[in-house]
Amino acid sequence: MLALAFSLSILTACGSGSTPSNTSSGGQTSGGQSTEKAQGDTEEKVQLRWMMWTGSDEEKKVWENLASKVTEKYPNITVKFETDTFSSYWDKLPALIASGSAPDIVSMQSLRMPTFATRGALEPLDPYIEKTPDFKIENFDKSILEALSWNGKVMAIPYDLGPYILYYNKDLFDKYGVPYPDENMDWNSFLERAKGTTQDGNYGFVLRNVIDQVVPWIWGNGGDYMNEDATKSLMHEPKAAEAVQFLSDLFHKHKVAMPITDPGNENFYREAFYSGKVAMYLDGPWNFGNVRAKANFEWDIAPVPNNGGKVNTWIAGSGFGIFPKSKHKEEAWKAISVMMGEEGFEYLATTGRAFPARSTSIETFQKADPRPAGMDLVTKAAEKSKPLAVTTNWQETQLMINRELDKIWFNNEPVQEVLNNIQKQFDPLLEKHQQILSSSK
Amino acid sequence: MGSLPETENREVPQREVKTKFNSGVRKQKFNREALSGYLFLAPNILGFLAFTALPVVVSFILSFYNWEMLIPPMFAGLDNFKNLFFNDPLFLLVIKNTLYYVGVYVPFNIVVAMILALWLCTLTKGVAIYRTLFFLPVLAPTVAAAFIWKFMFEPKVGFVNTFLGWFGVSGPNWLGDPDFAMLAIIIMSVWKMVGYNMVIFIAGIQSIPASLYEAAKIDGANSWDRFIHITLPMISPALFFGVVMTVITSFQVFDQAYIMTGGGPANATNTIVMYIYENGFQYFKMGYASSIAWVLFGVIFAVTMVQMKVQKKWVNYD
Amino acid sequence: MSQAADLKAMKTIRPKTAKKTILMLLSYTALSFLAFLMVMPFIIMIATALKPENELFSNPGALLGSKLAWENFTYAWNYIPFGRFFINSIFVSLTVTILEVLTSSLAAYAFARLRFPGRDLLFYLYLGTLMIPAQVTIVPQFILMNQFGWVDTYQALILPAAFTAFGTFLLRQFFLTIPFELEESARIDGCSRFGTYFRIILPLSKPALATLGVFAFVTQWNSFFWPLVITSSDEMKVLSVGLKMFQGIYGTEWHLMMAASAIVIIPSVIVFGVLQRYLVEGIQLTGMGGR
Repeated sequence: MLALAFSLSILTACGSGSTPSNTSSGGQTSGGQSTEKAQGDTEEKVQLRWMMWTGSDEEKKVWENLASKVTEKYPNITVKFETDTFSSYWDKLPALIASGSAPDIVSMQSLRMPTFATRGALEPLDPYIEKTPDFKIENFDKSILEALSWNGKVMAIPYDLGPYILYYNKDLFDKYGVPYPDENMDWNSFLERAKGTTQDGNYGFVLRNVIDQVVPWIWGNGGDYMNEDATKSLMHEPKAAEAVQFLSDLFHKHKVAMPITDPGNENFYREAFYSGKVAMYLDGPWNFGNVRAKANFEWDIAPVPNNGGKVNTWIAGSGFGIFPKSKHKEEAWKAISVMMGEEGFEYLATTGRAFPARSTSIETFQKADPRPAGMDLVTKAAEKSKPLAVTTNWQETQLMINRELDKIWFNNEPVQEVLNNIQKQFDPLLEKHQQILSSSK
Repeated sequence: MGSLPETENREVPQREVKTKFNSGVRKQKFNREALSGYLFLAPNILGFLAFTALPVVVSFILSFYNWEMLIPPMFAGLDNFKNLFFNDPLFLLVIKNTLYYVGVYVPFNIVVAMILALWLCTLTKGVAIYRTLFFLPVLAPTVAAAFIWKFMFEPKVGFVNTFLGWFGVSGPNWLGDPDFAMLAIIIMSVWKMVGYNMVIFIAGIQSIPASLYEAAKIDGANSWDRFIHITLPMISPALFFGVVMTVITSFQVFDQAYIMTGGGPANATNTIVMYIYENGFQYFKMGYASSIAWVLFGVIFAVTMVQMKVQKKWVNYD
Repeated sequence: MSQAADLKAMKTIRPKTAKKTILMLLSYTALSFLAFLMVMPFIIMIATALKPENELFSNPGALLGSKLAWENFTYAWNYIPFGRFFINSIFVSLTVTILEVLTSSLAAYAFARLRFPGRDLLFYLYLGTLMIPAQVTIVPQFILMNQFGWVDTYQALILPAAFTAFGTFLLRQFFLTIPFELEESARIDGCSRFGTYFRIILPLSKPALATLGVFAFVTQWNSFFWPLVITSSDEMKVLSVGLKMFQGIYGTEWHLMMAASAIVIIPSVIVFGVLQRYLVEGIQLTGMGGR
């Protein structure tokens, strides 16, 4: 009986204000909560909660400093910063949201945007942006803003952006007398360079066994993994299949790709690069900081090799949004507008924390640490990129695809068979995605 | 369900009757005993009901709902269970993986623990030191232990393959080979947990009166006979406890798979509880995850009940 | 002649003890080798903790780096609020252990010795809760804590952990092996149930209580999933959660994590060391032969 009552309370408590509110007035709090804190009452002290993932104490200090800038401009608002590791953050956030104790300011990744946005975890920000012309939203990189939008509305303000690029180990290239990767590498010249540097236990390339690392090659060949409206999977089609075959050959035919000995390690490929035993790998500019610290060799970046595709790399980033059930949405916006304002970005850029989403701060970022030398390529790559399109059930989908693709990398199973297998499971998942989309409109 | 076998024949002669309320005198004695029972139980059961039993019951109710965490639950009846058994090939795969794990890990663990326990009990000096050394892995945080073992399973320079190399065996790409990844996890798990059972068995062995062994030796029994006819029966309660708990926990294997291989490669180490975690925390299908958990419960419960019934035959509480 | 007889006698004795000694030596050698293998991962742990950061990946085969980087331990201590986490872990683990041992032993006595309506059903309920994985009870438990307003508090860390069925199950099994006659004579002499429990059962159960104490402490010390979900502020977090912090999004600070792990394991070893001697004391049922 007690259990019944308790579970009923879950059923109903989550029910209040559950439909994503599309009210455009910024001061309204949803869920029928008290409205004593009306608009214009800016004198009372408000403490906001903000959760963001960090990987080190230094990162934590950076965000805390950023948060303190809010109080400098709005003395009545303080931002309490809470943090966890990246994977823990995503473990906790759904539980927090489900129990109604999510933070006021929610940090969000572009790759998870559909999953959360479609289930009402973020407040649309356009009304707030319109009210604040000083915010200068136009200085933000268009594609990352798009990646953090949903149904045409901006759901989070990005702080970084990253197109996938190619990192390479200059020392290895020098050692074997192979020319560096250049800006117009096609797959053949990539393969030659990989072969040239695969000697003495070193490898030309290392791949992480996830779909994210495969997409640039698929796109680079003019193919795709699903169609524009996300209703059909396209991975089994010739152009995508060729790309996957090319990667499979790197492992099994040409043997230039390092065998993956630690599939459970998300950073296996990065650590392989740090060890100096790998000549090239794909990653985003978000890893500049780590490579600077951990690599004992000269390195630089180049665009991802292209084989005729129009776009050959994807873009992703993260940002901050507002929880729709927060009792202080106005204040939360004020905080965000400070942290993600021009000043906030200048501060972030000096820390070299992440490639800035605001174009005006790129120069400051470069001055903070000039490595890699080819940093201008990031902006160029971003221009020739598009956001990695994901679905509302992307977690499940990508896990399925990754595990199927594993059969190619680890068991050398025939590529077309595996891709056909993927299609059989991908299409039903896309159907479900469409269902979720239509039921949330 | 009847009373549990080991608690039959436990009462003092005057209370032979097993049914509840009979005549006045017996009723009085019985009520007082019942009251004592509840009083003894009270401190623990209050906390137990509130903090352990209640969430369990809620998860049971949730298994009949679709709950995507960020939106309210929706009643789904038996849909979750239907989908699980008829629409979910991955479920069957994780059951297979888990059974493989249980089938190899449990005997491996119990046998090694027993050997170590017996061995340590033959030592005259230094029992405490060896016991500490073999128990040390239990004390290590799983996160740290899993990471160290990842180093050790590295095919070229890791300790495991180096060790095998001393015997002329060329070890595989443990964590990267779907055929060997689960075995790697089993090995690591035995290392981590064998100390638990070893300590329990040692406690059991050390409570066997030496007089029994003396008597047996005088009667001419050799070591093997003494083991079968004295040691085993006398530690059967401890052995029973060890086996039951090891089976229950091994069906729920998660931490090691999560940290060492993430369920891969190609789903080779995806276990039932990993699958529950994925569904609940990554796909936000909390209702579905609960239904998987309750199917697992059914399996574990059935296995445990079988063990409890069979214990009559070999477990000796006298 | 007696000397010769003596010598002969000695010769017949010596082979037997010599054989025994050799066997003992072999036994110790083999066991030590096994113990060495068992402890090898810890050796690797310490060795990794002592490697300089830039050598972590360059030479994985080598056990030690170019120097012993003792400063890693200091870095690790400063990387996270180690001191605070330590205190939290100690407080939470000790409280859970004490609560669990106390209440479980009372409950186990009830299940093992007393008859009351619903006893077996309740015991099955206890046992049953051990068969449900934490992953599905975490969210309901979290919501419960939220209802009480206990998110991010000590109560939330302690209470759900202190009442698991494990302790009750372990002690009940053990109590069942204690000969009934011991209590019987006390009861006949007029001892109350609680008296029997306190003066007879408990002292005889030191190994089991010590075992439970060690298990409860270590499990709680290393438990990370629940503390992760229920704590958010640094003041409340525990060491196990802190350890995960070394695992960044772009890479793990292996050397620091190993150093931290080495530090983290010390209290568990101390607890084990202290309680070990109770594990040693067996029940010497000298007066109760013939069982």
